[in-house]
Amino acid sequence: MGALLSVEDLSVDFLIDGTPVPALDRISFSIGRGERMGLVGESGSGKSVTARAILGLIQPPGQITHGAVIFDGVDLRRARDHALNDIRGKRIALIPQDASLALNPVLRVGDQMDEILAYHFRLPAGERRRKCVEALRRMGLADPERVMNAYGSQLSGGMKQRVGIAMALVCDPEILIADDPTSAVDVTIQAQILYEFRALTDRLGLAVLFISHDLRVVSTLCSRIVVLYAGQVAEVGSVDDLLGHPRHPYTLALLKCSPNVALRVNPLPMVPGASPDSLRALPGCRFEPRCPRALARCAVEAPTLRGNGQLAACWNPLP
Amino acid sequence: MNEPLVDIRGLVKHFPISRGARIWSERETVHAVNGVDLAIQRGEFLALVGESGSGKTTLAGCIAGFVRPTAGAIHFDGKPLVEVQGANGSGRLVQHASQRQIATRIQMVFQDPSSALNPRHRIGDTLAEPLLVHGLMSKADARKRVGELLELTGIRQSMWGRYPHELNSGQRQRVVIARALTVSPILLIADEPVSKLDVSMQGQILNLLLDLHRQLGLTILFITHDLSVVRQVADRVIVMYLGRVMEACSADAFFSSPRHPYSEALVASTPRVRAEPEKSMLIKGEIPSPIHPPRGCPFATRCPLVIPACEQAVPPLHEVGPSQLVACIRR
Repeated sequence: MGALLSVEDLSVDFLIDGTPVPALDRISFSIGRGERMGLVGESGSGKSVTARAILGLIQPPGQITHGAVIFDGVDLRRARDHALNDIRGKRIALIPQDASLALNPVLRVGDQMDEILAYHFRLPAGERRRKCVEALRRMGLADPERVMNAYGSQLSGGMKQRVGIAMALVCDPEILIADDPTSAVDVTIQAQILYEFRALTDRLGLAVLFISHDLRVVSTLCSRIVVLYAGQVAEVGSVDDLLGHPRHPYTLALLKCSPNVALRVNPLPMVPGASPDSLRALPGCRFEPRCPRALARCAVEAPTLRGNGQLAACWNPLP
Repeated sequence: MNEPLVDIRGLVKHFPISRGARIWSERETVHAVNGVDLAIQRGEFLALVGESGSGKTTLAGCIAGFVRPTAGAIHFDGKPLVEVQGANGSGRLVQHASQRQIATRIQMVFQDPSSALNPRHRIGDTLAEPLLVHGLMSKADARKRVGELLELTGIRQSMWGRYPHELNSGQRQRVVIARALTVSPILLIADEPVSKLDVSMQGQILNLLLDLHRQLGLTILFITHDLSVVRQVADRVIVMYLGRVMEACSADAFFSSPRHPYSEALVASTPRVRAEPEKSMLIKGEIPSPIHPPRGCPFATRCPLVIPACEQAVPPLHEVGPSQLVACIRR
């Protein structure tokens, strides 16, 4: 089966005072139709830059310096604007991290949703309205007509986040890119939204790239996971392999450090140090300064992704 | 039992707000804290949990002296700290201790270490300032004390001359904790101290708080929305919802058998690795507006066990097990 979306050797730099600072360094992964893929990493690891790069939204001082983003056989980096605009928002949709910032405060929700449909489809207004109501109802909003007439500020946090997802769904996309869509809501709301999101993407057969800082959330929602560290892929594999037998020491560290509500661990596991400053290029593995399994080689030579199915960028992977 | 370190009785905090514009504006009230009775025992690690809007931070602010209560009283270390005399709404606020006096005994650690530190002060100066402001010691002694604090919180002595931007977020939060400890407080209030930190950094800050709790006998009020973090540190748990206490019990009882339906839902909704919450445990809806809280039980609008009586009166906290208090008429 061919991939629906593949990211190949993608690099993004940001120019800071004229010096290119790498934000993404040759990352690759692919997502099949109907597959939910998780992208996990800590702050600064390049999660959101990946989402923006896929959608062609990297603005100066940022620039894509290498690689390709292939969607259904089309290289999005080389596509002309009109071709790109036929894909973006329509076939690939983005769910924002914080819908309260993403909603236009001076437009009614219904008008914002209608704008997307009117851009992509030639449909009568009544039909567009029906589609908007349908998308809101799918996301569990009980009174879609009222929501359509509301401004963002008149909705609660959970409702705004549902509207953000509904807006992404309104054009019946083939893949959703969800940028940590539940990090700004409370746990009881997060649990509701994740439950509905999973049921909905199952039912519609939607592919998802689910970006999150929380390995626990991704582990229940996705079938495969990419672990990013400091702009590079540390490990990629199925949820069972990656969490059952992590091979990269960073994956293991993330897994151990994610606090477990069912178990008190004393003292708590921790990783010494912090993610590397991307201003300073390290010749070897970027996790080496914090890694308990580091070898002499790790400091001088950058590892590449190796393995069979489950790939880890590590010279001394866990057995 | 010993006298509690902090004794809160009937605490209410209402914030008046005006909604609408100009001549159409209406005065309304945010009911942030709605009658809380709470005792913090000496030397305990107490977690105060609840979703946003539950009143956790307002309650902490009342204890730390920067929020003035609308009604109720707080005693600290056996002496009155603040009380509102007279009827609700028309009461007269009596501050028994000045902010300066409170600050030497109660200190806070905030959520975001990047905004809690002055970017233009070296961390040594940041740490020395409280000692000099309170006139606690000479400059020479302060220098020695700053060295001790750096060691206590696991920061290299040589870092005193650094600015906050030269530290990583974990180190910055250590500095914020060290600053809180300069005046040797009795109570440390930590308001979401790890929620802005990456998961690989959270452990070091939680371990530090646990060490300080044990080594110094420090009483800690730990405020968070994240139950998996509470599980790692707390001796006792207080659950708040819309300005009221829903459940108060030992951490062991809370995680093995939470009794309030809201506590059950919170525990069940907390994400776990490769374990999905059961659909039946998820609760519907969202926390109601604190401007118009429900008349009866605040949780009645979302509760799976709700009966008509729940909407009539606010359920009182009652004992359901050994030192397990629950505000629910169904339990």
